[in-house]
Amino acid sequence: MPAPRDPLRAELLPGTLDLLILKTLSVQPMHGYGIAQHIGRLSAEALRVEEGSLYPALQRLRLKGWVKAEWKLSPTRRRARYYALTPAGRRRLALEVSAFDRLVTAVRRVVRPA
Amino acid sequence: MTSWLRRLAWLLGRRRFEADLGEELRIHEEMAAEQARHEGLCPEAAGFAARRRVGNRAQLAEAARDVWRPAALGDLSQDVRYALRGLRRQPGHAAAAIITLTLGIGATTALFSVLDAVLLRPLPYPDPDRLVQVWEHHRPRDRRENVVSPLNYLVWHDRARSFEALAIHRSVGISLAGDLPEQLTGRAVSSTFFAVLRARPALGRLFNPADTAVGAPRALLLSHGLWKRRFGGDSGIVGSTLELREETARIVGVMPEDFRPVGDESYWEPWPMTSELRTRRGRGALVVGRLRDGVSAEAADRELKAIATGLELEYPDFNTGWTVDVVPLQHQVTARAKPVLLLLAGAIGCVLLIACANVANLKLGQVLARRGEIAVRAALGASRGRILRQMAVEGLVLAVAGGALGVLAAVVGVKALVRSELRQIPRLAEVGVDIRILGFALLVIGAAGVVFGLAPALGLREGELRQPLGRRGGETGGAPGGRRLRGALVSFQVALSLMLLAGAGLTVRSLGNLLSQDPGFDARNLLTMDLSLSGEAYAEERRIAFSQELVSRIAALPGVAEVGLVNALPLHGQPAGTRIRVLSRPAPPPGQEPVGDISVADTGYFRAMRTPLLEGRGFTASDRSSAPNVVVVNSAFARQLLDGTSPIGQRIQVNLWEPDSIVEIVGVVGDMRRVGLEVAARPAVFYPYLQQPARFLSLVIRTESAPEELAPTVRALVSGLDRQLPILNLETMQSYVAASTDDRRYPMLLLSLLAGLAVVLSVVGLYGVLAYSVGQRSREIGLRRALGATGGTIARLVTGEGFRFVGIGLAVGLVATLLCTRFLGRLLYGLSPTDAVTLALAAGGLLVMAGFATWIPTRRALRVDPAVTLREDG
Amino acid sequence: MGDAVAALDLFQGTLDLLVLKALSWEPAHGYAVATWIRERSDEAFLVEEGALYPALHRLERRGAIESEWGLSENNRRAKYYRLTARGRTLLRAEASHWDRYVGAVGRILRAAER
Repeated sequence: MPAPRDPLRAELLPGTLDLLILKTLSVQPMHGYGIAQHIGRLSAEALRVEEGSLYPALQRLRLKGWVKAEWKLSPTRRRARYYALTPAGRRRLALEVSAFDRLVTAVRRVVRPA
Repeated sequence: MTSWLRRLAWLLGRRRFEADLGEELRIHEEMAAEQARHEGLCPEAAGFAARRRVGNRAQLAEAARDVWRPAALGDLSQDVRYALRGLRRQPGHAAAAIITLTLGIGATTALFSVLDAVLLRPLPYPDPDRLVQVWEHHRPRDRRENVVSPLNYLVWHDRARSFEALAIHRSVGISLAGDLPEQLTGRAVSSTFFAVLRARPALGRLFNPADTAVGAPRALLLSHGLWKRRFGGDSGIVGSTLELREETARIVGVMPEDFRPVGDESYWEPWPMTSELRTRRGRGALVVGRLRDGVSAEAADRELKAIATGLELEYPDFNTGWTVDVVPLQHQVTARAKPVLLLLAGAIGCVLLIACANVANLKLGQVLARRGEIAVRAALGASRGRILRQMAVEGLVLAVAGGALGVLAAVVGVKALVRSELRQIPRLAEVGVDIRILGFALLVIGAAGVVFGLAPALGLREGELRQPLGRRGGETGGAPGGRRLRGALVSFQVALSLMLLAGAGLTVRSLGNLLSQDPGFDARNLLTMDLSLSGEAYAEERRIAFSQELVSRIAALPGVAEVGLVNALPLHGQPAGTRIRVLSRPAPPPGQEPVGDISVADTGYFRAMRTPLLEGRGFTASDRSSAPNVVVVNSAFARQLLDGTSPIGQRIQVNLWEPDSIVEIVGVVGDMRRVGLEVAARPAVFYPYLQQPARFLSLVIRTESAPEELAPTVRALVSGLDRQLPILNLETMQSYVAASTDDRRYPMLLLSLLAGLAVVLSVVGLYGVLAYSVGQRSREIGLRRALGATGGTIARLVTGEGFRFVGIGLAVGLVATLLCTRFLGRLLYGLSPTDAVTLALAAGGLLVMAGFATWIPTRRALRVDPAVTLREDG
Repeated sequence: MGDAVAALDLFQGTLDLLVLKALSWEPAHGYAVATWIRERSDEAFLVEEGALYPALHRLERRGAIESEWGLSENNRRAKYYRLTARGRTLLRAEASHWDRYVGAVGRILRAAER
């Protein structure tokens, strides 16, 4: 990580990004902009999603078949591309969440004091 | 991996993708700008901020596209480096896998080179599919592939329209004079011979009519082998003269290295088709032809058969019952070797499969042990596809390493094979490892690598990739799925091994049966030597005097028990065959006259061979040329021509050396197997040497101790009598007996070797699986011990598992064996392909070996200390 | 390509943290660090040489650790690494950053589904 770290806001790393996108979409289908807003808001701005990573990530999830895209009308009558979870995506989300938990537990075990 | 299908769909809908993405980003920007305005920025600043947030659109689009494009090659090198690191970490595993693959792939490649040259590649002549061989065929006796009479050949040559060219050739021999007298075999060929084969000389020229003119020196074309061996490859040889025993010959050229139409010829000389040939009736030559364009072999066959019918009528005394067969030359050359080669190919295929199964098992064990590492990588985002690809690359790296070594071994092995000049393999000179073979090897390597790279992955489903994180590889039972798969692989190996072992056992016992067949003579302690008393120096009187002198001198040597002479030694020489007429019987209709082998033997021959005299007397010194003409026959003669009545005193007529010569039978000897140990004896007639002093003889010496020891003395003795006489084939009779079984012996040895290899590999595989299983179940074993299980129970646990795998393998293998051993065909002798004893022995042998493989893991299981394993839990 | 890069990235940041923690006990050579991490994480983290030594060099370049040659347990020459004062500070910073990052992600993950 070359740039100096902002103690308040962390760049979302691609591995976790997929996870959070899937989680976000598990709440309801959303367009790209909405996803970014949602993540920022829920993390109290601790996590920032770069558009440069978001859209490639969405493509990746589509390639894997975990997410599907559809052009729809937004509540404000504007046309936007909405993303939604597929059943495979839902299963993947469950796996990723448990894996993340296990990873965190393992790291905490190493880093715990004493 | 349906993502590949989606990638494909993306490729097809590229334009829509680009349009959609562009629109999406535009909308995103708009929404961001709107948000910014909502937060208080002026429209311009808001737009600017929004654009800045979206960032470099081109870069973003590129990144999005990259997702869909198939993986770059850089990943591959990363995979390879990772695979190499993995191999270095476990050198034992890697070495075992690579050695296994070297053996499997090397053997397969070597065999494929042979198969390719012998069976697949066309003969080394232009348009080889137009070449045919022509045989005579005696219908009543169903004697096919009979050699041809020059008379009939000349008639075919005159009348047939199906051939562009037809040629005849026969076996001849010359003696080279000089310090190293040598006897050479060659072919006398008609002037059309080289035209049929469209062959050109490597040096010099072919024969021309001047070579056969009266007074011209004998013209010779040398073979490449002879030229290199005896004349050092001297390119100035063309036009030079060669000293033979009786005359001087002139060398007109040298043929190319791959020109070996018959196989053992050292030279060619012209055979002028004189009209005198039309009077000679004997059959003794070979005929080859080149079909005319557009004419098939079947059509030529029909035409010649029609001509043969005409010949039956024109020459009834000679051609009744005879017809003609036209056979494509390619088929002729390879037909005999084909079944055995295919059988060996199957056997090597089995060994290769066993080897791959072993490597797959090794890798499966590794993978299962490394599940912790893989789980972390998976948790951190590596997709299952990526991991699978990485495992396939690992498999390929192993396959390439083993394959490269294997190909090297194959090249060395093939070179050695070609140098050995084994007669059993036709076209051996053409065998070599070339680009096509290498391509085949690469295919095998690639397939093997991917198969056992990915096979272990079958044991890892998506869920399993996740589990062990958090617990130290801890399962109480060990993944049953992994163990079951490995067990199945072992059963597969055992089944194949049983097949190979049973096949090898059958061929071994067949050879044993054959060798215990009574050949009609005692082959032990017999030294033999061929003599060629040719030329004017050895006129009839001189031949008789010389051979008598030779026999008495040799008989006087210490260590010699008996000495004899014959003109066609069993399992070595070819006796002449002709029709025999028993005078006391009514003449059979033409075409149905009985036929027998006609040989010449001296007074000591039958005693030396220990062939019993059954009736009457043998030859004595009084059976001279002035005395009445007598012969001795064998008991097959008595059975077949006289219905078992005593032949003594019977008179027969034999048309061989003299037309219509009538001789009286004075004795009956036991049958001797001449053609092969498995072929029953034909009726045979023996003339006394003193009445028919043949030029080409075999000397037979029964020694009191090892025959080889007497060889130098005999050689010296013969040279002492005539220095210019070439000493030919100074061999023991045993070596001829052994050589006659060569075409069974080599497949048997190879099959046995392969079976041995298969068993070793399978046993190693079984050991690996059981050792892993015990390791995985150590906690379970400890638990059982703690709960009071005895050593016997634990032992039964392990051995039970082992023998379950072996048992399934044996059952499957038994069925496979029963179905497949019939393909041994000709190699079997004296037993059925489903011989129960052999099968039982093979199965028993495997069980014993399996027992060894289970013994060590069982001991380890018994040593598991419950206290230790339980402590490790929690 | 997406996934592989993601794995390395996340692991790289986490790896630095684990290595710093390992060296916070006492100076050690590379092999010992890997062993410590493995045991401490209960076999969950099997650090390979290919990741470990680049991490050590990275940290050394940042001044978080320093190295010197010494003799190992079986009397072989080995390079020992030691945490510097800067390193101790970095360890605390990285640990707390990691905690916050993980906490933020966790919050999003635990948001109720509707």
